[in-house]
Amino acid sequence: MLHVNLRLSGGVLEEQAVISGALSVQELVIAAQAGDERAFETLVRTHADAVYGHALRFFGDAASAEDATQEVFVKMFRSLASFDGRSAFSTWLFRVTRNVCLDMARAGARRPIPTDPVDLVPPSVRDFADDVVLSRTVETAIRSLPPEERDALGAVTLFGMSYEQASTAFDVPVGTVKSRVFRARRTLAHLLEPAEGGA
Amino acid sequence: MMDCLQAQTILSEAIDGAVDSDALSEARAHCEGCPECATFIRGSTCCPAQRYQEHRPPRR
Repeated sequence: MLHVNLRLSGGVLEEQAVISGALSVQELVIAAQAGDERAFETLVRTHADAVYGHALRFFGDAASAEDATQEVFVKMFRSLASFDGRSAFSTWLFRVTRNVCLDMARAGARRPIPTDPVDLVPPSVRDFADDVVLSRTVETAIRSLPPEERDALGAVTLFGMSYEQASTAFDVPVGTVKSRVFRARRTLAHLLEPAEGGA
Repeated sequence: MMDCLQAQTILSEAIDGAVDSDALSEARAHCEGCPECATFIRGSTCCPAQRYQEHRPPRR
């Protein structure tokens, strides 16, 4: 569970407008913009894995990913009022997440750990029975992808963005997003081919 | 006749959303007898992390 150390400046509203679990993301955003603390916390919980996943793939270490995740939700708290709903919330949050990671790297506070596909040890058939080992191998393989393919795959699979939404986020044609996601999957399929034959 | 690139492209799109059912059927039919596409399918669908969504949440 991610704990975000934030307090809404206006305090808790007299009437919590929503029972957060029953609302759509769009409704949660509107409620959070109106000061509903539970709605904001639900947004954080709902998106924490995606944000952390992107940051982990960007930096390659858990500590940096945690720092970035924290920073993303601080920024989300500060700038949610400026979100006008013209794009999907996931698209907006993806942009925030990507920018936070890039800014942290540019500032030199955290540096992405390079991953070379040559260093990747192909999983064994046994690894496919161990979710933890396999997940780690998959993440290493993803980190070795070209950044534009890794980002496209993450936008679609982590943030649940449609190809059209990802197209908007990256400012590239939809076909380019499809192509990047496909190339990422094809590369991963080869990298993750079991060393001891079929799974 | 569908080739590997076309089949895998359709399968990739199918993971992320709806695709034309006839095209998907054709892609599946192609993959049944194609080792290259079988590798692609395994790599895309065979493990819990297939959709790359399983992440350990931050500790703090």
